[in-house]
Amino acid sequence: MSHNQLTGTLKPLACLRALRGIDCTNNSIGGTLEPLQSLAPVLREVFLTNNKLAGSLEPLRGCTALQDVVLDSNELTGGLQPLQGCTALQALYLRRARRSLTL
Amino acid sequence: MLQFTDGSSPRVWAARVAMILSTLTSLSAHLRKQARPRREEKLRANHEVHTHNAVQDKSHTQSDPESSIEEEPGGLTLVQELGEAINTPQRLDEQDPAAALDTLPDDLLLHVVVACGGEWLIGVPELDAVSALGSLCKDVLQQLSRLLPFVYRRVHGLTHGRTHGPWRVVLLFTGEPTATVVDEAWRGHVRSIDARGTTLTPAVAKRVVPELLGVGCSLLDLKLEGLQLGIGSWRQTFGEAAVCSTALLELQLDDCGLSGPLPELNLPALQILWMSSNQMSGGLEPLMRCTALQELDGRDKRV
Repeated sequence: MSHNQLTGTLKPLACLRALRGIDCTNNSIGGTLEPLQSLAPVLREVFLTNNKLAGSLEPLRGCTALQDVVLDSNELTGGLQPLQGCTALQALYLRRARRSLTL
Repeated sequence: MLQFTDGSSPRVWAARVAMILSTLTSLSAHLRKQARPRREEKLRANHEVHTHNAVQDKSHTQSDPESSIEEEPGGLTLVQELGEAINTPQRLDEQDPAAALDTLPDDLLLHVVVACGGEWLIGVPELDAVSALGSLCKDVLQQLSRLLPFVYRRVHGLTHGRTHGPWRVVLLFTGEPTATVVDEAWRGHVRSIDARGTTLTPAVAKRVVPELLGVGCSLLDLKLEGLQLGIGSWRQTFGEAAVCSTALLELQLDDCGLSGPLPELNLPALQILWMSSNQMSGGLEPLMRCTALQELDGRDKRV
């Protein structure tokens, strides 16, 4: 769904329990990452660059299968601690993502 | 119900049988190839022996090792091939090790068929990978003809027959999605359409949803990436029919010039959806019924 003009939030994806990869890069999706919490067991790839996502990375805490997280150019805040348990993580991109980033 | 004493799954067991089958087939072909020149030689010898026997003592010919084909070391294949020619009581299916496969139960034979290969869809092998099974022996051929397993074949035109020996062939079509292609897909003969980079006429576009993505459709994947349909909403391009196929597994509509809100996608089997590089607007709510969705833009994007 990348490179469209989608709005709204990620909430409709919360019920798609088989979802392993999301690419909604370059849209105008807002809200938080919280809907991704319900996808924790299977979610591997999150590509949400250049959207309007806010809040912290806390919803990703249980996403232990995550391999690629690309969240450049959003409005996320908080720290990276929630990703400590993501032992499969291979790539993390947060450029221009955090106005209040604490490392 | 089959039981496997070593605890292997039917799939693993079938893979082993397929490997043995493949080996036997190769070996049989090799032996027959080697035996062919000797066969002709022996046929001549046999003819001479019988001619000779007519005028000689019968017991003399039976003790002559050169006169008896059955006594030829390693001559099993030779005997099989000559079975009828030399009028021996041995039948091909009594001696050929591959022929013992005719005792496989139907479900196990179908496991063997599937294990022979193919990468398009789990459970449906490619015709080229399994066609040799039909040549193993008469009884296996008959069993396959009765079972008519599904196989797939990649085609660029629709002139190919839908039956191919003992196989039920479904077609994976690559090319321009014409009205004929849509007809064949609606009938269930074409199960995959890859029309990337081709063109789609407005008349055919109006048939896409009702006849490929609608109720009762059996198409498994539809790839229309890069078809410049002109900037227009989904409704303007594809009409108002409900997108509700229960069979569709993959839908590619990248870079098609679509605009406006997403249509309501009631595709419970859909696993991969590609819709990037359009001008779709609105929220993601229309995806909520795609409960089997695994990849939203499934392209391999590993960083």
